[in-house]
Amino acid sequence: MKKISWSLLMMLLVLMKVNGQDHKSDSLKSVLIKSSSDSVKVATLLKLGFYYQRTLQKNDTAFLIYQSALAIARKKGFLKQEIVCLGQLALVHSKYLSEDTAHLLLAEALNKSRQNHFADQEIAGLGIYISTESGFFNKDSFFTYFDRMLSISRENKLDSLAFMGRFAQSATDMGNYPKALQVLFVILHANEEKKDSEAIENTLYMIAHTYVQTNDIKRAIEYFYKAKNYGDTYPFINIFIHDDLANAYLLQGQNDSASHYAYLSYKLAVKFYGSEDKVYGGVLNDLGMIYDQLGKDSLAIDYLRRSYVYFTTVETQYQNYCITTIGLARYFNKKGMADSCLKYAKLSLGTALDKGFLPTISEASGLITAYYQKNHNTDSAYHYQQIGFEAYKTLYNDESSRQIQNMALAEQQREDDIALAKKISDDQFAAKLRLYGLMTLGIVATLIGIIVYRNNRRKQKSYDLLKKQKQEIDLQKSKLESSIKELQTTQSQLIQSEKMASLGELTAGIAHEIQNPLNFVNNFSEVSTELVDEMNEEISKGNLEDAKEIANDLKQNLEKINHHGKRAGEIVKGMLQHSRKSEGQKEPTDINALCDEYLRLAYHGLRARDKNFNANIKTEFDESLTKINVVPQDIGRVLLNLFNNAFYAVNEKKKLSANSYQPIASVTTKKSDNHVIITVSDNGNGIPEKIQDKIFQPFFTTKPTGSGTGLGLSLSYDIVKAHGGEIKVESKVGGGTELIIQLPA
Amino acid sequence: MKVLVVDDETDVKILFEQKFRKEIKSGELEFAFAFSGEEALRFMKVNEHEAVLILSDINMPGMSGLELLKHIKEKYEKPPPVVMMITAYGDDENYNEAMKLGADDFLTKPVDFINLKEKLKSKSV
Repeated sequence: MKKISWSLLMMLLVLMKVNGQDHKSDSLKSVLIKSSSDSVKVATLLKLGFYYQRTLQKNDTAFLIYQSALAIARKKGFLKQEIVCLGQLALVHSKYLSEDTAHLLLAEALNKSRQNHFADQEIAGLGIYISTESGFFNKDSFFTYFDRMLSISRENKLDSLAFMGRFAQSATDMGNYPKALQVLFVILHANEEKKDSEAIENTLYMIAHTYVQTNDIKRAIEYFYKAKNYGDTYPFINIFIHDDLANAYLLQGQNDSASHYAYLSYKLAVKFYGSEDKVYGGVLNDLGMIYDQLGKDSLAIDYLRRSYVYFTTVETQYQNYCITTIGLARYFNKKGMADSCLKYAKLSLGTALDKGFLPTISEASGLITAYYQKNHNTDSAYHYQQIGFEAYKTLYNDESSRQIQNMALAEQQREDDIALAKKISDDQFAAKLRLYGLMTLGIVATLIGIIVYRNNRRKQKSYDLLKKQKQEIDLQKSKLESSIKELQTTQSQLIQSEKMASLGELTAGIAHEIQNPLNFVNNFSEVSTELVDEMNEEISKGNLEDAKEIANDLKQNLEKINHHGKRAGEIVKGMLQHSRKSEGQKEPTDINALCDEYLRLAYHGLRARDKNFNANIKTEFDESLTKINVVPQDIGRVLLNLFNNAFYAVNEKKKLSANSYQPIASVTTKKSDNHVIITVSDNGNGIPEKIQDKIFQPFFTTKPTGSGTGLGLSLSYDIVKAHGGEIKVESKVGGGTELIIQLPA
Repeated sequence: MKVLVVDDETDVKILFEQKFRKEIKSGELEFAFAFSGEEALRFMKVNEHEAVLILSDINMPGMSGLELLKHIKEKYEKPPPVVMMITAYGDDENYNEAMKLGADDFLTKPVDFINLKEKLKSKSV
């Protein structure tokens, strides 16, 4: 959070040491105008540039000044000044323009310094290199440059305090707090010896800041106060001291003090920058975050918005931009303004991903993931969750090493910080460095192991879950399949039981129908035997005329026997066909005969079961009807159902009616164009209109429970449909019912 | 003696005519046939008191034999004809019902013609 403000500060420190005192711009401008010497001009331009850049914070003006200084220096071959100009331009570029250009400029500056053995310039260039953001995040190049800086300064017996300050800052940025503190205390003492109050203040501030990072807030506050004693002299630093003090109190849970110092920090900033609109974005950002933490939402949003404006229009600072935008996202999230939250979280994430700011990536992707989850956009939610997870993994690693190093710090702090720091030689320093390196390596390796293990476990877990889900789905599937199978079995069983039920209804009728023809067969054959005896008698008497008459009767009797025998055979055949499971074949069928046969079966069946039952039967057969192709037992079943229903209906009405009621069931056949129409009617109670459309539904029955399966008409409907015909009902309550079957001829 | 046979099976006519051909020839018995209860009633209305014995099937479409019996016993008081019921269903219920309605005899199918002949002869005496 404090990286940018701190880096600004460090730059100030570095530049001050290298370039000495600053001057008022007016006096510099007058020197510039009066001077005829190009070297003086360049030197003055550089001083003026420093002034604009450092004191006035006007980088665009400083940039122009450095460029004109560089042009003159190059033209005139002022090598040292050229290098300084390149370095300063690189600094401006790295912060406000292009980092790539900054690197190119610096590389040129460093090359020229090295070639010409300009130690001062090389050190300055390396210092700038380290202070650029790219240097920040590249550990290897940082140490390389730092080593080079130290060796040059030692070779040339130069003051290396400034570089040590840079080193301390970078060590903190990399989470190596013990090292940072060691170096900072060395610097502090050196500066105290030199009685350099500004440098002391800076160092105290940095120590305090490092303590904040180690969560030693008590000590942090102590050092902030020490730094603050110098604050009136150096107002720019003072702003951040107050700002950081507010932050430290906040971490300490002392909200009133935090609020107080935040307020003072802002007042100092306004005073320093001249007006409210000119206040540096980093200050606004810090205050926004502090007020957010304090729960002062309206103040927080105000500062965050102004900070956002600053970092989008005035100055580009990636880290601060990310902190501001994530702060805004966090604020809107808290307020339940999901769309605004998403907008700023995405802005923050974009830059954070580009620059590799892990905590911001983690937090921003978390907010975005939550947004998409809420809106059921699973794909996007998953995408951002992955981004967040990757960042978290890396960050987790970093955090752990930081914690472990904090333990090392705690151990070390038992000893006297300053005394220890003074004793540390370069060798010990290097040894420690190696030790820390090894420790870190070990820790990193362990952590990578843990992460890999955790990942594998997570993968295993999700695989197990998937497997379990698949098993469940398979189980459900097989359950469903067996349910369907069961249902199909039940259905066919029901159809069969309906067949058998109607067969049961028929049995009595069939018995009667077989009994009657059998009686005739028996009787006619008996009487024929008698007739043969009689005929023989007449023949022996010579009464041939009488004998002939008897012979005619005998012939008639044999015909009757044959007829009734066939009649019984037909009935048995029909019964067998009716109960047969397999589907019958279509064959040319006499519909009139079929109707007659089943009408009788139905009638006698009912009679057999209910002695009181009786009904008038009317038949009206169209004699012109030719045989049509149907499955006789199927159409027979339909007719049986319709007759049974008709008889049932009239019987029900008769039970409730006066004696004058004459129950009538009738069947008529009629040829009509290409159709045969069979109408079965009764003069029963009729079917109410509201259930007329239900009578063909399976299991629909008006009969008392146990009396009907409710499948009769449903099956009839299916059979007629299967024959390409139609069945419909016409009924009036109190006026009887007509069922009309139309079959293709 | 004139006997009215009531049955919905038309072949009954041929059967009776052959079974009783000797009796018919000798004039001992005379047969008339009706193929439903309704037809039997119409015959009786037209040929009042001609038939002294009625043989009726019980199970017939329309008016059943029992209804016919009830009708005859209620309407024809002096002298009511002899009514013999014939049925395929020789159960107690039918029997009791027939007797309650005043049936003079109750026969079950298949008809024992020797037995029937004797009964008719005893009635005609």
